[in-house]
Parts: sequence; structure tokens; C-alpha cells
Amino acid sequence: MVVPIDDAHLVRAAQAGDDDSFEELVRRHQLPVYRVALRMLGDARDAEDATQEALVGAWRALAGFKAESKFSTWIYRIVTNHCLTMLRMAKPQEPLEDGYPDTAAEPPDRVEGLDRFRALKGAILTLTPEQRAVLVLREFEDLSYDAIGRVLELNEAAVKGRLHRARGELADKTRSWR
Amino acid sequence: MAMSDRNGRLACGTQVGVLADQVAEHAAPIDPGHQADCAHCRAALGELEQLWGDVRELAREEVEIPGGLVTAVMARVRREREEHAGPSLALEQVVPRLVRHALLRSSRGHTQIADSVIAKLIRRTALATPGVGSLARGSEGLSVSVEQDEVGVRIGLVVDLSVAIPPLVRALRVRVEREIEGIAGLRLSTLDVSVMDVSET
Repeated sequence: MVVPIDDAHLVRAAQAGDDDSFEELVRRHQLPVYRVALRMLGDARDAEDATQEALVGAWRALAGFKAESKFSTWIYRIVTNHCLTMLRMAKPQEPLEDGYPDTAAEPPDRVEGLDRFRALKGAILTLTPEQRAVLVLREFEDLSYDAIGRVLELNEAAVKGRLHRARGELADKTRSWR
Repeated sequence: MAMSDRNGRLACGTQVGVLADQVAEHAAPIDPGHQADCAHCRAALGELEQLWGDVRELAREEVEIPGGLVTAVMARVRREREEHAGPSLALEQVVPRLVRHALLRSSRGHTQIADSVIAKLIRRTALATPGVGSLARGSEGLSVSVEQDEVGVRIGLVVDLSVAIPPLVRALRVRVEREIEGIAGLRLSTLDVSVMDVSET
């Protein structure tokens, strides 16, 4: 029976200069990294760029990775911060121009089925980047409050508070098409 | 949530966010007695159940990874290893702090200006410069680094097809400098311009 090599082992090998081990880490973690970037940025091309930057960034900073933390949390931290930086640099609302419907212009009863789904994605993209990050990490990545706190450098109370505001905001923003 | 007010409260005073937390986390109600009898809460809970049903469905949606991602990342890693002999950056250099500020010191108090504000000023200036079609996407389009009262700027431009590039870049430099120094009171340390594309229109 083949026992899969755990992340910690791969990280140690990669830190010692083994690029194949780092490649295996990239293979294992590319999907969650890309998923976070896609939900944060709302655009496949931007998400692909952000994923590449985050994974190359992880390699650049690998020497400072501490064995007591989880690689997955660490890489979430890098990609989330990278996306937040991109969003802060970009024009506000830019993601809305990239193919999601402008729900305000649609009569609510026509926004059904798939459109409602797309409108939800659009509504998530109108949250502030900080609210979006906490919502994405909790609802889509299923991280614990503690892990989200380590990703966003917040304490647990701050994570819960921000999540509470993000959810209230999302409920408010989706009522126009409900 | 047709009946919540601007502060996100229902007519009964319950906060929609509290109900949303309850639905999202499958948590027990904080005030079960009230919720059982309150028409406002029950209507809102019904809508939130539907909303969070959609959120969970979206979370289950399969996301397809773009092809060649691993290859592209590893090509960059191997190139960087050849150039710099290995990974050596501190995490702080890779993960920027969430908000960075330019800092203007004076004897009567300090002024902080977030780099996002500076980025907005520069974006507006660049787009208003004749011959500039748009900025490239993402961090290639605009990146701002601040250090005390000095600002370094990198801009990636998409220019109009028939424009002469050197005068355009000179004009852009003058305008950005004026914006940063005139409006924000900061100094432009570097401005690197890359022309990334031409717009055909």
C-alpha cells in the first residue's frame, strides 16, 4: 500500500530545495487557491493570475514557513491577501462589469433559476473586499473561525463580527431580486 | 427581506444579520420564544433559508482549474531559482500588509493617506491623459508602493492605436507628478510605464 506523503514532509523537502516536492504541493493546493481567487475577484482570468502569483509567492517565502502551521492555512493567507490587494488597487465595482447581470435593472420576477444564481454571485461581488473574504472562507471553503482568524490576522470575535455584517449585507443586497 | 429598515432591523427589532448567522450556521435561535410567534422573523427566516440554500449550492458548484497552471507556476519557480538561487523572501514581502499608508509628518500632527487613495488618484489621472485607452488588468495595470512621503508607481497602459508613445508618456509623467504632489502632498520617487497593448477603437 502506498502511503501518501503529507504536506509537512513535502514542505520540508521543498525548503531543502526539492522543486518536485513543491510541484506536488502546487498540485494539491491549486484548486482551493483558485476557488478563493475566483470567488473574491469574480473573473476567471484575474483569478488565474492571482493563483499563479500566490503559488509563486508561496515558493518565494517558503524559507520562512514554520512547521507548526498548516500549509493550507498559510497558502489561503497568501492568496486572500493578494486578492485583497488587487481589489483595493482596482476601481470599485469593476467585477460587476465582467459578465454578471446588473440585477438592479432587472424586474425581480424575471430573475429566476440560473439568473438568480448569477445574481447571487454578483451580490457577493458588491460586498466590501474584507466582508467578501470572510464570507468566502467560511461559506465556500468551510474554514473554522480560528483558521479564518489566522488567514486574515483577526481574533475570533472580529471574525464573527465581520461575518455577521457580511451576511446581513448579503441578505440586504439580494432582496431586490427575491 | 422586504421589511427590514436601513439598519438591517425587522419591524420587531430583530437584526437580519442575527437571523442570517442562525440560518448559515444551523444554530439554535437566540430567542426561540419570540421567533416562534413573530411573523416578521418567520418571514425573514423563510427568505434566508432560501438565500442560504443558494449559497450552499454555489459552494458545491464545481470549479474547473485552468489548464497548465502547475506548469506555469513551476516554470516561473525554476526561472527564479536560476536567477536568484532560491527562495529567500520574508512572508511580509510576499503578503503585503492589508493597508499601507503614506505618512506626512509635521510638528502639529501627522497625516496618513492610504495607498488605495493614491492609486485612485493616479488611475483617474492616467485615464484622463489623451491617448491612454485603459489600464492593463489587475496588478499589471497599476501598482503603487508608498514609503513615508514617497510614492513609487508602476503603470501598464493600453494606448490608442495611432498615438505617439514618447510624448504620451511625458505628458502622463507630468500629470501624475502634479497629482501626487499637488493633491496628496507627496513626492513621486519613480514612475515606470509599460505599454502593454493598443486599443483598436
